[in-house]
Amino acid sequence: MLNIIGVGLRGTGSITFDEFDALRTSDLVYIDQYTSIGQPGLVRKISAMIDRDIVPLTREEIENGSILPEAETKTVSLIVVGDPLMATTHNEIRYEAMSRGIPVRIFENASILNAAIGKAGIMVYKTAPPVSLPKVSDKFFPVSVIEKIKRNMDMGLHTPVLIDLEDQENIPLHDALNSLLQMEKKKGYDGIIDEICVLSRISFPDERIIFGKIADLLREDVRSPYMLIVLSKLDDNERRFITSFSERTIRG
Amino acid sequence: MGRKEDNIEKALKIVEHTELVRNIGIVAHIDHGKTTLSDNLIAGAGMMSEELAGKQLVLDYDEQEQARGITINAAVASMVHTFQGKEYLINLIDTPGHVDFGGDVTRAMRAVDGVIVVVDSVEGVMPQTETVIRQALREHVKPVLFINKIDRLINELRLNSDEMQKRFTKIITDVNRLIAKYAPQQFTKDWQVSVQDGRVAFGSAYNNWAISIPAMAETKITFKDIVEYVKNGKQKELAQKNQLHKIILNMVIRHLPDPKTAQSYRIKQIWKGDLDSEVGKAMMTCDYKGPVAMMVTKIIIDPHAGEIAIGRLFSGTVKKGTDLYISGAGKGKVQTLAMMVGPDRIPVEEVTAGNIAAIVGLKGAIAGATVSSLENMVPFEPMIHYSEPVVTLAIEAKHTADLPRLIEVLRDISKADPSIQVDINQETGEHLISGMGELHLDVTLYRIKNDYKVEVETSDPIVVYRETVEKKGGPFEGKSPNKHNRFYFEVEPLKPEVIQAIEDGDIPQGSKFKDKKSLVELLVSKGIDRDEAKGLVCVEGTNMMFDVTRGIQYLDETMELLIEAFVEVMNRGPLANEKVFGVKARLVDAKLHEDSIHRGPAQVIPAGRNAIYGAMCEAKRVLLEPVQRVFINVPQEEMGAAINEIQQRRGIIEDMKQEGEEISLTAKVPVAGMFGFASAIRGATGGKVLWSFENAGYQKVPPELQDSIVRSIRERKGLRPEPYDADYYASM
Ligand SMILES: Nc1nc2c(ncn2[C@@H]2O[C@H](COP(=O)(O)OP(=O)(O)O)[C@@H](O)[C@H]2O)c(=O)[nH]1
Repeated sequence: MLNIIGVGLRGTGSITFDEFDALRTSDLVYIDQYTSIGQPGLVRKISAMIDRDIVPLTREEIENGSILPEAETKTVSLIVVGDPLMATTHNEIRYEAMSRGIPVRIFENASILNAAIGKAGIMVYKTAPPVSLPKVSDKFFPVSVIEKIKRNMDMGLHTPVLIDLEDQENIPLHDALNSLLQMEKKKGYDGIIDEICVLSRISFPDERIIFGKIADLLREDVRSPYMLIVLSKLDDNERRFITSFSERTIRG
Repeated sequence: MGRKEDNIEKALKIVEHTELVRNIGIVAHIDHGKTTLSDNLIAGAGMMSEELAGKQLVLDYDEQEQARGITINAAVASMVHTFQGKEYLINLIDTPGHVDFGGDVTRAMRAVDGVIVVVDSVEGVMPQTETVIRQALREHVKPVLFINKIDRLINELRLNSDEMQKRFTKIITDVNRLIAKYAPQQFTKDWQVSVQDGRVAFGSAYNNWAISIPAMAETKITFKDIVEYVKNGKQKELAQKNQLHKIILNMVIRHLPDPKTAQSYRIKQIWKGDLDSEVGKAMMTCDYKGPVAMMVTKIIIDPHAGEIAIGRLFSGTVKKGTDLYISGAGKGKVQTLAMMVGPDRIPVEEVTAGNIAAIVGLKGAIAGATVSSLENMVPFEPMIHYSEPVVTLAIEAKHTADLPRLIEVLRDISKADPSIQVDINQETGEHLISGMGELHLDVTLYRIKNDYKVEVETSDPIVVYRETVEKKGGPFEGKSPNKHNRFYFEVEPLKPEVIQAIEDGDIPQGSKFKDKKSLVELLVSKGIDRDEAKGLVCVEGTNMMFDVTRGIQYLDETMELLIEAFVEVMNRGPLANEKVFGVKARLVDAKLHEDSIHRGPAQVIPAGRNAIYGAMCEAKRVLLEPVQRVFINVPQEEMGAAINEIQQRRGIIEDMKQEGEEISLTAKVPVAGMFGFASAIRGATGGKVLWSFENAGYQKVPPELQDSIVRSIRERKGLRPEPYDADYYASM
């Protein structure tokens, strides 16, 4: 038996009763710390709560499905921060398990994307699917990121941007914004990105929501984990909400 | 004033009159008499005293070159010669005679406009003769022919004048066939050599005489007379009447181009900048008033002066004390400027277009660098010498304290001799030094110990193998670790004519092609399908990667990473982590994750690698070993011993000829079998042997030996003894 358990965004606070039961009755409990970052001390706190050891999995262990053989004979739970099935990787594990005849139970929970859109105060109807911004290099400079943002802009849609990790932390805001600017330049899209909402440590005690022009945000620093929403034209309601729900960056 | 000084004085007067300058080289198959000819020319023209010639070999000025009697470094000697009442300056750039040191030969070709091809009349045109003629013609360097060792035809082979002339005709026909084959299109006819117009001379370099038809017309001497002189031991007399240097240098002045003439057609070939630009025009006309444009053809590391950059000045005037730009290495000041006369550097204030300059102060310049007064001059075309090292050994300082010094010395050495390759073994941290043969490494180690005075310890030399495939393999699916990206590669052997074009430098290395259009045309002309040719993405060593997919979204974002995977595989083959030779990899399909973060380097590189490795596993992997062609001359009674020595070393006799009492053998022997050959063959034949060799590419390791050789290489490298198979790469 394999349980794929999304624990939401609030650490132990967002674990549901069903999830608590499932975890407590598991033979083995793992946590995926690669695809997203949880609250500080998350592993320790859940472990104390369910009275079980929790084994963190590396990226390779998740990708090669190393927990599946155990799930054939035992009840294995995999903890995922946020919603369990946002990452293709988890659906891959689910699929692999099913093809081995292992029963799978999914425990959905709050996802970072929904939380971000809602907390920023923009309309879900006007929000496009997310894109990720990887760490770029001279050999890997995927301009499809900016192409997607441009396409969304053309349709009047905002674009949530998930940020690559390095050493378990999002790459610094400054680097991320610079990558976006370089991509604009490379594609000749200069200036298409205007306003951005930065959401740092959503649902953590030190959550921050910052809204401003990209040029001004270059001078800001935020703590990991964080994500961006590249905004297209805001309507009156959205502007009213976002300006009151977020700190505005100091205008330069 | 001595004669030498006097000549230097004269030389300095001539340098500005380019029509009176000739830059030439002498090329030959080993032992055909290049060194002897060079020395006697120099002696005759008076740059060194006549008595010394033959005893002290001016061009072979490295101590160990003399000890070994082979020419290693291309040095320069300038000679003054009077022809039809005018004094000419002839800059003779020595080209190494040993194919082990092939890199230097090609570079020297860039500096010269003409060559004297020396052919031993007894042996005729040999494989290396073809190689050197080809190298010269590729650089648009014009040839004349000297047929040497005529005395042997008469004294040893006892030929009469008719038989002799038959031999000459054969040699001339052979040489002309090569010229027709390799000369630039516009010159295939014009550059044919013929006796009648005096582009062929005959003689004995050793005995210091030569003749040519124009000269025979003047002196009325006939071939019959010559046979008589030689038979009767009167070569000294012959030499007085038909001085070698006069005949040869007259031929050079009359038939080889001056710098201005040569540059009018050579620049296009060696420089791809705008010919209508200021520097383009200046080079085309060899203008000493134009911007400085020089190509460094050699770096000598001098214990006192440091790095000396020697090169051909194509335009402008280099003046002492001025600043010059060095391609890829910033700026340098001309501290000392000199003309080279054998081992001597004669300091001068300036050197003008069309001449050869030696400059101290251009730090960072390497052989092949472009030096200019312009900051952003388009560099000269690289002189590709595509010869890969065949032998390697590990080297360490005897005293640990010398390690930093050793690293410095190794860097200097590979700078001065780019055919020496220095690597660090990532696993063990050892320094590995690789070269063109056992002898090449011996010479290099000798230099490290004697010139640089660093005591070192080395491992036994090891053969550098290659890997390739025998048939088609794939399409093979390579998956990324997250399984969301799949690449499909096919591999197959690359056509020999394409490999040749890569080795000749006609197909450039890397993945940034300056002129992709004409490259595609070239590939099509070599039999590659046009659609495939258009998909060329990378050339790594003798291997090529093509993308033949159509319209796969986001694929372009992963291409640099796939190139990295391809380069990695080509440098670490699947059998034994040796370099791959002559493989074509085709990307035929790909499936990619929508989101770029899931197809970054950590995903795409392993996926590409697995696909190419897997396809190679399906294409029957074979191990290649370097082979050498060995030329042996022994007296008849030692033939058995020589053949035995070759056969013990897995060698195959390719040809056997009898010339008088001598047998000459040509054999192909694996480099692995050649270690210690020098002393073994000397021992086996009682020292009565003359031999030489050249690298002759790669051949398949005998199938019954492949597994055990692969295993021993893998063990040496700390890999698991068995190579992985296709299933392994599929499961990754
Ligand atoms: N009999 C004879 N021997 C010659 C002649 N020219 C050169 N040799 C000999 O041939 C050998 C090779 O000559 P060398 O100049 O070193 O050849 P390289 O390898 O082409 O530089 C030497 O032993 C020379 O003395 C010649 O005209 N006649």
